[in-house]
Amino acid sequence: MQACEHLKENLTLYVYGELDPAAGQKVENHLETCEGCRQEHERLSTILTRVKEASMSPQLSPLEARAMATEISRTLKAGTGRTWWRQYLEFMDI
Amino acid sequence: MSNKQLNLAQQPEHTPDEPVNIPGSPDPVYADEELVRRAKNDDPWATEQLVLRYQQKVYAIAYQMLGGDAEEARDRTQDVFLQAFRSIKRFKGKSSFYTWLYRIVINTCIDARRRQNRWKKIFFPWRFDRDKDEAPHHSPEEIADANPNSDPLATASGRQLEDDVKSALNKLPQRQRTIFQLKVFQEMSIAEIAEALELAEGTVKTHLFRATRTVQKQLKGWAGV
Repeated sequence: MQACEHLKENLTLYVYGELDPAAGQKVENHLETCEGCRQEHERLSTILTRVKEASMSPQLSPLEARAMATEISRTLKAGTGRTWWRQYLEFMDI
Repeated sequence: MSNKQLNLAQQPEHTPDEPVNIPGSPDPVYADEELVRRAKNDDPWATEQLVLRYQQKVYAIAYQMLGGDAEEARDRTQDVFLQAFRSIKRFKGKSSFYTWLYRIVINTCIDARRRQNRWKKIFFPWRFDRDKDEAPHHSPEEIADANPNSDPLATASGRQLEDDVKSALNKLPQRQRTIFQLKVFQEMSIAEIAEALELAEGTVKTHLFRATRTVQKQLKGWAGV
């Protein structure tokens, strides 16, 4: 069963929690009566949940996080800029 | 929020202006504005607090935007903070500190990705064309899980899903991909994304909708409905 084409954008925004309450209520009312949109809603929610699960970012370990903070402080304190070759590469945009 | 909506958590509320003492924590928690004010006066403690507060989020964005390259993401995270604190005196506070910081992360990662692609194109043209369209292929050894009790079918399926998601994201134009990643992985609102990317909210909505449709089409086999 097909979803209503003209509602697809609002359905997507609804799944993302980006509709204002009135527009959200309209979508909810529509979902109660339209099997095609209900299935589309189900498919979209499942896909986005799977995408999120499959793309979990690793966290910096406490040790890495602390080492990075220390390194940033040390570099800022020393006032050392980027190395000359790094500046060159960036200047050349490569 | 309705249970029909995806459970995307909202950004945590900002800390109040006055420092708050958290039980068990040796230091009071200051609002970003206060830490920024101190960082502008070269207070190393304030700088470090801002790094510790945002480095996981910055790293997560960099990791996603750089296609899951952990080492590159660590380097770019460090660059982002160095760039931010070197120019913090120019930060006028027209947006929140984290929006300003996100802008630096996004621009840094877009530049880094462009450089990565350019290098790949020069030195590994055959890999560049493949990587552009396909996700990396996992060998059976990579698919095998170190945990002997894990379900190999589930593990292989998880890896396949990861590959398919990477491939779907790689097919998106850069702006659509960035917006999709900020929305789905970083759980930013459309308003926040618009502010970070300096785009109109309507433009962000359109890109997000198009990106979502493309990803949904690419991954339709995983919908299970």
